[in-house]
Formats: sequence, C-alpha cells, structure tokens
Amino acid sequence: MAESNGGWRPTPAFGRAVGVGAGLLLAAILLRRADLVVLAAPLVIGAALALTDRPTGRPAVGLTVPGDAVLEGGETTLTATVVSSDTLDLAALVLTVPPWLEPVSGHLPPAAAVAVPAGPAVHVPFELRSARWGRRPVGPVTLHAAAAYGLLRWPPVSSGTGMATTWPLREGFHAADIVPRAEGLVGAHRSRRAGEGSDVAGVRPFVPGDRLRRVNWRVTGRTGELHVTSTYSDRETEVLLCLDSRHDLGRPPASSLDAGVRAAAAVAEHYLRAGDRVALVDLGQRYRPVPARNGRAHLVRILDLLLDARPPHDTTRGRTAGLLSPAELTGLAAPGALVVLLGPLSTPASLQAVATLARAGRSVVAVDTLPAGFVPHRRGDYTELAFRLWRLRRDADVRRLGELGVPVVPWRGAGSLDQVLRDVSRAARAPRVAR
Amino acid sequence: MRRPRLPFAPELELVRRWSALTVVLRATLLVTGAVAVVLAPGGRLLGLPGLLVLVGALGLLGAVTVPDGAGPAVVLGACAAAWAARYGTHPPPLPQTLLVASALAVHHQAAALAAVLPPTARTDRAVLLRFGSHGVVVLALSAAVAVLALGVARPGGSVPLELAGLAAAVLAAALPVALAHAGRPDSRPAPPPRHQRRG
Repeated sequence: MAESNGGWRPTPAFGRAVGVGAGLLLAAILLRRADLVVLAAPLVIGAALALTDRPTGRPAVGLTVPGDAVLEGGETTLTATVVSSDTLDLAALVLTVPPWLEPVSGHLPPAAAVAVPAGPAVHVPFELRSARWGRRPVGPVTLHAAAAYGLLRWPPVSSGTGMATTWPLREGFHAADIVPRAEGLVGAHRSRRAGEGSDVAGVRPFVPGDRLRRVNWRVTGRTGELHVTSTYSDRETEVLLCLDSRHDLGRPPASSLDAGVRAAAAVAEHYLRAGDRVALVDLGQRYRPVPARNGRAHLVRILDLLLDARPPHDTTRGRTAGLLSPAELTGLAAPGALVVLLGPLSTPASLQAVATLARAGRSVVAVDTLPAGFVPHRRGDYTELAFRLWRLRRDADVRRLGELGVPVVPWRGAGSLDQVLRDVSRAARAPRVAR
Repeated sequence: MRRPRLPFAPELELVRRWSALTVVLRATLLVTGAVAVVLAPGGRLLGLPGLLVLVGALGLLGAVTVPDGAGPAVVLGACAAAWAARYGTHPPPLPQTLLVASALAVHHQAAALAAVLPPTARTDRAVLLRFGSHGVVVLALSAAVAVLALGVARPGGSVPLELAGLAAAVLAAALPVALAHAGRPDSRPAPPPRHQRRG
C-alpha cells in the first residue's frame, strides 16, 4: 500500500470560485447591482458548502496482481485498493499497463473513478486481456484523489508493481504416434523391439516363457502347434526442442518468435503427455538449457524458459555470444533423441547447428517459423533486392538441409509434423553403412 | 502505399478514447459556456463587451480542451465582466440574469468534475450522485439568495450600508479560503500495508 507525503491542495476550480465570486460580490456593491450577487452566489455558496467537509487524512492505494498465469487471449483481474480516513468525492485510478495487456472494455490507459467512504477499503477491479505470451511488469496504479467536490486534490499516489505472466497458447498439436527411436524401459511409443505392448508384430511359435493369454488359438488350431501373437514393446523417447530466438522476423503477435514459442509449447505438451522426456534449449540464451525430464511440472519449467525468449538487443554480439557451439548442442541431445529446431532459419549459424546435429546421427526436424508472406520494413531503395537475395540464399540452404536428411516443415499447428516424423522414423530404421 | 497523416491525428486518437461521461461533460462545458458568452454582451460586440466576449470565446476553447487549466476561469471572468459592462448601473432583465447565472454555475461545476476525471475512466454511479446532489443543493441555495437579493429594493447611497456590504463580500470570499487552509496537520497513522501479489 503506497502513500504519499503532501497535503490537500486547492485546484483551479477553487481559485475560480473564490476569485470570480469575490470579484462579482465587490462589483455588486460598488455598482449597486443585485444581479451580480445572483451570479456570484453559486460560486461562493458551492465553495463554502464543499469545504465544510474538507478532508485532512492521507489516502493510500495498493495493487494486487494474480499470481496465476493466463493463456494468450485469456483475461485476468487486477485489483486496486484505496483506503482513506476521509471521504473522497472522487478517487481516480489510472493503471499503467505494458504492451499486449489491454482492458477488456474501454480504452487505454485503464482508468476508473469511484467515491471512497471514510474508513473501509474500496476495491476496484481492472479486467485485462493478455494478447501475447510473456512475463511483464504491470502497474503501478496511480491514485488522483479529489475532495470538496473538485476544489481540493491530493498529489498523485502510486502503488507498487506486480508481474503478469501469460503462457503461450498451445495450438492443439497432435502428432502421429511415431518417433524415430523409442528408447527407455516404458512409454507410449511403439519401439522396434519385441515385447509387451499393443502393436502386433507378428505370429510366431510358442517358446517357454510366453504368456498363455498371448496364444493365438486360430493359428494354433490350423497348424496343430502352439503359436503366440508377438507385439512391439512400448517405449518412451527423448525430444530436444531447440528454439532459435536470436532473430524475430515479422510483426508480433504473429512473428517468427511467436510461432516458435507457441510451437515449442505445443510440441512439449504433446510429448510430455505421452510420458516422454523433453528438453529445451533456447539458442539465444547460452546458460539456461532445460534438461530432459517428464511430467506435468516439467511443462511449467519449459514454459517458464519460453517466457524469457527474446532476441538479444545487440544482434551483432548476439550472433556469437548467445550461440551454443555445435559440439555443445550435440552433447545436449541424447543419441536416440528426436531434435526439433524451431526458428526462421534466417542465419547460417542456425543452419550450421542443424547440419551438425544431423551429421552426428541425430534425428532432426526443422520447423520453419518464418511468417507466410513475410516482407521486411522498407529501409531504402535496395531493401526489396536485398530481401530477394536473402530469400534465394535461404531457400538454397534449406534445400541443402534436405540433402542432409533434415526435413524442413513450416509450422501450421496440429498435424504439422506428422509426415516428416514418419519420414524421419523410416530413415532412422533404415540400415546404415558403418564407416 | 502510405496513407497521408491527418493533422492533429494524435489528439483525435485521444478524443476517440474518451468515455461517455467525459464527452457529456465536455459538451456541457461547451454549451453552458456558449450560452454565457452569447448572452453576456447581449449582441453588443463592439467596445468593451465585445472584447470581453472574444476573450471568453478563447477561454471556452481552453475550457473544453483542458478543463483543469485557466479556461473555465477566463470564461467565468470574461462573461461576468461583459455582463457587468453591458448594463452599467442599470438593472438587467430577470430571466436573462437567471439564465446567465445558471449557465456559469453549471459551467463551473462541470469543469470542476471534468478536471479531476481521467478521460478514459469508467465512473462509478456514486460519484455522479455525489456531484449531482451537491450541484442541486448549491443551485437551490443560490436561488434562495437570488430571491433575497432581487426581492429587496435597491438600497440608497448609504455609506455605512455599502461598507457593511463590502465587509460581507470580503467575509464571503475569505470563508472558503480559510476553510481550505484550516486543515489539521497530517498526522494520522497510515493504513496497514497490504500484499502486492496474490499467489
């Protein structure tokens, strides 16, 4: 609860009422005009009446920000609290909000005007809608207190600030149940190994140790020998998400970083629900990789890192300082992990990282988050030409990735990765020549 | 292709965000100020009344755009001066006197509220009731004073009476000033601190 030193000070309305009222009264006497008393009466009487109930105490204001995160497009309610030992005829509250946080109704800045009785606190709700993911400071709320019907006012009092958290909207990502290499002991994906599972691998003769419920009675009756139905074992996998936040192309909330963050959140949630282990690396933040874990709590940890994804201010320095070396990146990915790189594939550095992972034998999928129809801001006569050259070079680099066996797919929400995951899975199962 | 930038575009954008109450208050300021500016000189646009009306019109523009500034005071002062200059020592007609007095009173009240109200604020009904009831009480008391002032016959040239009137005027003006500055020292304990964040 913030307070302010100061005092109740007269407003221009006070000076107007007293000055013009007194002048009219004097003129009425000097000119012997009773009508001027009629003109002066509302001003003088109004001021005298208003000031009979003048305040003396100091008002205070506080701001309560909900600690729960909301999803993009979700609404949250902040509460401003005003306390005064005197009646305030008008307490005007103006809330300072960061970009992408806007009032549900009304215009910016969110403001409210209430009357405050002496004593009890008055709670004023501000309903805000979050338009973009992120962690942003919200507040302060500034109190402009007025008393004596606008003749006195207290200097503005500001509250503290809070932090509003908005999680990226997961776009309902669903992938076919295919992973290149299912590892581990248990899980939800079909592996290449036979074992206890649900996907049928074939029918084979019975061997000691097979369970009776696996006996295939139809084949057994036809052949006269015991046969059992064999299945593939269900295993888990590890997914490494690499978010390239070093460059944000396009306009928020539909920029390449927005698409990358939302896609990363969706893919992470999908695989964590399936019981897989998910790791996250933000290529723009060197020292904060999230190690591979599973479980619902791990999703919160991943989302927490995603909230801090933003391109470095100094892009020249950011190209090298924020970049994990290809060796470090390869070390973060387990040998059988599925690596999903999410970014606009706009720089040779990110393409180099993908190529290194592919050469190291990892199953890599690159998700292109460059917005469709992206056109840069015009900065000169050569902007369009430079952009065309950049697109040509980027297309060539993407084709080169394809030659390395890295599929590149644009992010289109649910089902975006089905086809490429199928291809990657098939490629991972193909026999390889050892060198 | 770039669209041409309109003049005063930022200001127009701000006006577009005004709440309904703000629009009503600014319209009230404009209408009451215009009534006072038109009625005060009574068509005498040459000479001192005309000059005062010109000043009042400029003040009206300021009052509508910035109610917290000197605009409303300029409107009140200019119109009152034009009204006084127009009739000199002659008594003006009663209906016009009441109309100008009402216009100036409402203009003053509306400006006082508009000055402390953020333009985009959603306003609680209790605020309107408080200011509205205060305005009604003030107008009712002023009407009683007007009846007394206009009903009493014009006093003669009595020097003691004029001196008593002057003293009453000074007292009437000094009373609000004394009330405004008679606040006790601000020594009340501060309200208890509250948590800034709700988990």
